[in-house]
Amino acid sequence: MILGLFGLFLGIAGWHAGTLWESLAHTVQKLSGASVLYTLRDLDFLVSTLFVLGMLVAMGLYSGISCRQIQKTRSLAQLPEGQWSIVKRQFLKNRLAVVGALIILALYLVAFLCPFLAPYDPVEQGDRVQERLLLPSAEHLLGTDRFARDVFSRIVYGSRISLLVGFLAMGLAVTLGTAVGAVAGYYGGWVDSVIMRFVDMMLSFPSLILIITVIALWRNQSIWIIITLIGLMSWMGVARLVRGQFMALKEREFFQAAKALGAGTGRLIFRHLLPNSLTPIIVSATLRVGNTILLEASLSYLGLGVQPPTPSWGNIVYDTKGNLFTEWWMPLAAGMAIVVTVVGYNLLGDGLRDALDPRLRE
Amino acid sequence: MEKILEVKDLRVRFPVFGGVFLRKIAEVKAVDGMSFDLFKGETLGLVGESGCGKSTVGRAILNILHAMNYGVEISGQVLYHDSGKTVDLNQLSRSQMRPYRSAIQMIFQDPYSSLNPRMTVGQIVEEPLKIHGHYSKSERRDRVVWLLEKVGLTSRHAAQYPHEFSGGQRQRIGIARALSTNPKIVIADEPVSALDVSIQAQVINLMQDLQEEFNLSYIFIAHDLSVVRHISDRIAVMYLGKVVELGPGESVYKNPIHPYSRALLSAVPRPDPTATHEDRIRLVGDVPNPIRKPSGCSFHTRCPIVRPSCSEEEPALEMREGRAVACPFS
Repeated sequence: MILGLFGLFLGIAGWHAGTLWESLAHTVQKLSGASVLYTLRDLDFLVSTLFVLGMLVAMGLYSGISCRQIQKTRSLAQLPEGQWSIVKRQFLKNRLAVVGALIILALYLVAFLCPFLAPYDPVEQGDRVQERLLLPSAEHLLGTDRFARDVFSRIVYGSRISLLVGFLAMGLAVTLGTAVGAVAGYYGGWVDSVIMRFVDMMLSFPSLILIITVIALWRNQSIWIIITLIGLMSWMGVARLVRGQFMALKEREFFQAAKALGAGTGRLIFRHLLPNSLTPIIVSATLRVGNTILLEASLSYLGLGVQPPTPSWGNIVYDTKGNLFTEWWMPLAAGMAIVVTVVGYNLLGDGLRDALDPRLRE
Repeated sequence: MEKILEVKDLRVRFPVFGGVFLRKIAEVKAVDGMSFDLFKGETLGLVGESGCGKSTVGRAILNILHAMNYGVEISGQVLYHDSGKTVDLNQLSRSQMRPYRSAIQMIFQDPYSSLNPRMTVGQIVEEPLKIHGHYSKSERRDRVVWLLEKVGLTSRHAAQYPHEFSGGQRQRIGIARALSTNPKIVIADEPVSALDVSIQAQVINLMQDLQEEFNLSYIFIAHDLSVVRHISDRIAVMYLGKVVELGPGESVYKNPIHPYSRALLSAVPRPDPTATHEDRIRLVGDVPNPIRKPSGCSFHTRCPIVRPSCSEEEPALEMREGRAVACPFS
């Protein structure tokens, strides 16, 4: 189970690294000028194919390892049920949570397999006279927009931006929040007071307006800057959570025992406090992904997020809002994609919280 | 007999913060001038009702209060004697204290909270060896197995997590952890009060066997007097952060002198249904708030034999009938 999760995480991280690499390659290509050795679409295909192959290998490895594990447990007689298998069973019992997990899994698959799923290049413009604002048909599932681009392909490719932003911004927020919260909770006293007043101050800023201001001042709307800004504006909740957890865990006797043994600060934090705070961190991270995706969509809708022609769900809605009364399916589809993703993440987070909390078990 | 630990006039004050700027508005005198000695190989029972500062004494000796409580003030001396040398543990910084930590260990009250749920039993017992020992990996593993067998578990248990064990088994794991560094002193903070009565006897017997084998000195904190009587060589009765009576276990139990000890001991249930409870002394009222302690003898608000002078003069411990008692009138 843990291995599977780890594999999934590796896959996700690897894919994001791939995206980063892709954008780097793109920049290099632009800078080097003229000769186009390969198009972005070729690269996409390459990355997707690598992903599919990687997944196959990972699945093979995983099934091999789990087979061996099953053999091992059989030979070890009747061991009591492990913590993780209880969590798994509890999670699978919760149908809504499973639906959420499936939605997220499906979305990641879509994002990984964009080139295979999207029938057209998302940024390629067709004949501006004949193929503009076509009705949905077998060739264009959601019709074309005012630049004669296939909307379905754009929404498929838009999933990459949303998942990328969601994952990385959340990762940044959780890392930062955990570090800050850990320091405040572990040291307490005036350190805690100073840090928590700073957190209160950060929380009282309207984050969207602050981000808009910074982007406007920066005059640069690279996706990486947006991710960083969103991450920097959403770590405070995690910091409060981790601080609270640490303060509660410090009262527990196993912490006092470690203290009485003379364990150092590093051991106390990384062996005793952090592993026991992981559950709420995972849950809040999952629930937070939805928020960051929404924030990115709002920014893109305001024209301050991902810049066209790169498709993101937010800027698809922005692009097509002029056609709201005639070609209403275009903004609706993009909006629905946002809603489904956020709902998926929230269901997953709720399910994880219930499954990981022993008090909520029957 | 050789003294191994001397506690002299130990005082622990917890600040109470309040107001807009979280200033210190009051303080709780949890331990208010405790003095006692601990001899090599003996068990000193520490009894008193909840909130009298028993556990705080234990944690103050271990010098772990600073980590959990911001602004706590500790004064007095905790002298540790080892092979002719004497160290005041209370004066040591965190890093200076480290070498002495292996000599003084603690067994905790709640076996459900004293073991890290994310570590296997093997890791829990091994941790002290990693912190203190100069053991190799295989030596550590051997010692963990040896320790687990000493407390009545097997090497097979090392790979399991604490939640897979019963309360009694967990307490054994806690004991194995405390013993792993070859301590001289073990502070047991109500080690059996969370266990079933049948398991209590097992754990107590285990502790006594280990004491004999390793020549341990115990400070046994409890509120259950029958348990304390069974294991203790000497008993110290505490009230509001102070020792009110300290003497040999049997004589304190059978014939308490201080009015508080008498009231406490008369509350012990007797396993005899025909016995009358006429001799039971009922105390009136609650334990006073330790933020606002009564003046003079802190027991005078509830004392059955109170005199007018009790609220003015604080009685000192006086030797009487082979023990120390802090009441001139009893």
